[in-house]
Amino acid sequence: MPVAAGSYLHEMIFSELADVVGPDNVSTSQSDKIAYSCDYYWIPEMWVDRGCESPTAEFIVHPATTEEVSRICKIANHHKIPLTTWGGGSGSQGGALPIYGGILLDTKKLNRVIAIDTTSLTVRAETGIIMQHLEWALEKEGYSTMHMPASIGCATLGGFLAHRGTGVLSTKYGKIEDMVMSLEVVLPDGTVINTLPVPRHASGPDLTQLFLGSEGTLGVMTRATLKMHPLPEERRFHAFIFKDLHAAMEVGRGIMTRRLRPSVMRLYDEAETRRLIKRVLGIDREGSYLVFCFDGDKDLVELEMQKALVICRSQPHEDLGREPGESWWDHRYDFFFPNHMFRLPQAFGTLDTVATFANIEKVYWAMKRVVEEHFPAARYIGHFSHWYEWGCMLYARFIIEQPPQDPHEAAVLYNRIWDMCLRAAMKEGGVLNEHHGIGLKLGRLMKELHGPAFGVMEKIKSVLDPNNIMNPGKMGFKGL
Amino acid sequence: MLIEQQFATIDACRFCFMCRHVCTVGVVSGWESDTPRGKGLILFKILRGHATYSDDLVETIYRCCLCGMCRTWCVGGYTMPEAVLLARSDIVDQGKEPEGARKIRANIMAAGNPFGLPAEDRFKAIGDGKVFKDKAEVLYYVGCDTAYSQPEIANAFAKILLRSGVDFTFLRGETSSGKPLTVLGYRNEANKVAEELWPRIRSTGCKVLVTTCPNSYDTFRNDYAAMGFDLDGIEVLHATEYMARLVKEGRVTPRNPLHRSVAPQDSTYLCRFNDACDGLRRVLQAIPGVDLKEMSWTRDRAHSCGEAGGVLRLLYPELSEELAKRMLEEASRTAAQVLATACPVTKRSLASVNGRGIEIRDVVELFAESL
Repeated sequence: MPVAAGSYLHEMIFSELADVVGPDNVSTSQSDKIAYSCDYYWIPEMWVDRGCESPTAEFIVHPATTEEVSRICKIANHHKIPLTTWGGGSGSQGGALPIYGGILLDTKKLNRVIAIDTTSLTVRAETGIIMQHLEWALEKEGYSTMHMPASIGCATLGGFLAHRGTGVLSTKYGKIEDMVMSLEVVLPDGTVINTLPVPRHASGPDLTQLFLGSEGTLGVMTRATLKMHPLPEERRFHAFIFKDLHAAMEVGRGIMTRRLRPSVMRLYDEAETRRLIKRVLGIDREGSYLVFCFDGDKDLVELEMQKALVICRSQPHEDLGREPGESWWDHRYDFFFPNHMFRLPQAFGTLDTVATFANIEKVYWAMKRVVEEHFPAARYIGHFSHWYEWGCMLYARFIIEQPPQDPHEAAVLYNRIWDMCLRAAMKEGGVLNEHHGIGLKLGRLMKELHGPAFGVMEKIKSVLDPNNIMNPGKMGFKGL
Repeated sequence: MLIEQQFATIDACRFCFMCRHVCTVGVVSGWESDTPRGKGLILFKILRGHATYSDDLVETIYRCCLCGMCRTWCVGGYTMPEAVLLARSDIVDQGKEPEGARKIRANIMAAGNPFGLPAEDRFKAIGDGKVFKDKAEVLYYVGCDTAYSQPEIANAFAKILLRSGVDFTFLRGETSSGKPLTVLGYRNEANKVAEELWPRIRSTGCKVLVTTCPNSYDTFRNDYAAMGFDLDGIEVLHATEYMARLVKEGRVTPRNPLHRSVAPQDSTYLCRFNDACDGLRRVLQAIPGVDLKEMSWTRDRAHSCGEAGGVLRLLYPELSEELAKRMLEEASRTAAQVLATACPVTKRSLASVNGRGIEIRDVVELFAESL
């Protein structure tokens, strides 16, 4: 329910929020409404570009403690107004957009590192901390979470928790859901809960995993304890070109099923090798580019590397040595600055999905066929950059150089590509998403993905949030 | 609108988050509107006619401290501080600048300083070292912050010049160099100030124009050059550069050991806008007994607390204090006994919030003390 500016209710809610966080930490300014109305999702960006009016929050609040978050939840629940949590706002799925107005809760003042446990190698921090700030704090002590996504400087810890994010070292160190020990969560009614202090137990279902990936629909995660790791003695890369995607995939699969543990492994299809690898690394080759890294103690790195090289050399290959990987590591964030990254007027989307080794190539080809056969204006590229013992993630992308100017036509085209690609992926054993989340963008496909199991999620949502105040209309849950 | 000149930056920054974690004001305040992306979104709307400058939007544009960290960080080379400066000029053209900005402008135009203090009191607190000659090899330009609130810096620098046997003078009737006007968007007024000041500087026949104020240093070197003033024959130096030269030439030798650990606090204008970082360290290293403690955020990536024109402290004192506290927190991690600044605006901002027991001194004072 929107709260009209100038109404009695608007005044009352403003005063209640100001009473919690102080008037300087509640904003109704035009500046903030603009800045919080657009995240990293292409549709709101396109709307800004075309001059459309984006939905805005009525109130933007900056709580600095868990207790303040709790009191804000109580206010929203009492008045039955939407509460959307915003971390860095750099999500690509529209998850943090305040589509029904109401209160937008920016977590960035919950930014303290609470405790570093050098005995157990864990760190407890508030979830509004920008991930790079947490990393810098740990690096000074000789540790790292090893969570290093391109959005490390943009996104908050809470943002990664909310959509089960990942980083470039995930193949060895896991996604964020593998890194979390425990959570403090404020429920929609303001109750503060803590999940169990350790992630491995037989003391009932794992509530930590219930909240991870819930995208602000079940509560606000306010603190988290993460694993941390000593900084590695060495990080050693090696790169190869193989004749095609399948050959490179066989090598990648071989490395994983041999149970070696590269921290980085990135495989680029022929199209991305031809364009991106040439443009950024200056390697002009036909075929499929594979780069991987082992890190840790030097002798262990050497041993694993030698075993991986044997697997690589079992296929026809060109050995590119260490340098391309080292260069990529040094410039890994450069790809995401303007001029390197796709941006308007282009339309673009990252169709990241994950499947078993038996299915992942089928998923790749199915989506590629959809794009090439049905959308001639679009091109399709892909790489595989997060690997598991049983399969890997496909980071496929479509790009349209000149999408329609009309915002409605552009959105219809954009959504149609997503629908067709993801249905093709699901048919071959893929899922809607691997590490960006669902948000506003993909909610409509959640029932198709989960089938009757989505009803379980809906029931959990309705029990925890009976007034549907928490980020309504996201992740496939009902709107207002 | 002038901001059209920065369309490429506005277009790139409006959807880019890549520098938000280093944006000085954005990190401290937490508000998205304070980041380069927030300002990009706002300026894009203004540029396309989808918004006009309301009081809210104006405040956002004036809260930027123009430190240029985003510019330094940007792989794409985009220049949000330049876009913000042009936006402020547009705002001024529309008569919508904040009241505080108008006051600073009026003070400079009437009394030659942003504080509105009497022009005749400018050098009142400076001691015997102040020398006024018609002609000299070196002109020491003091600057407003030093003259009115930190005469100890001017006294120390005059002592160094005297001990080095430099033929120098202060400038009779010195006024603001105009940096606050430029920073606030008053381009015409800044030009008027320069038109009045520069001929008087030239008339001293100085070959070196040296200042303890990085704001003025940048104004003379870059703003005046951009305005078309003839700088030929006058070398503009910051005091750190000049002191390092005096040491190198053997004209002065610090002999009294300081016996203190010192963290250098780099200046935005020296390090980020003029690539003049080395002077501060050379001077500190020349002082016997200085144990140099570097901060994590240093040189062209040093924190800022509103150096540009010294206006942030006047317009938004609470924000300025938060920035200064962050800078002190960073310095305290080094466990240094002294934080050595090279900018009077920074020293003043830090001193106003200093509760950490760290001594805050301008490098000029430390050097003078060691003579």
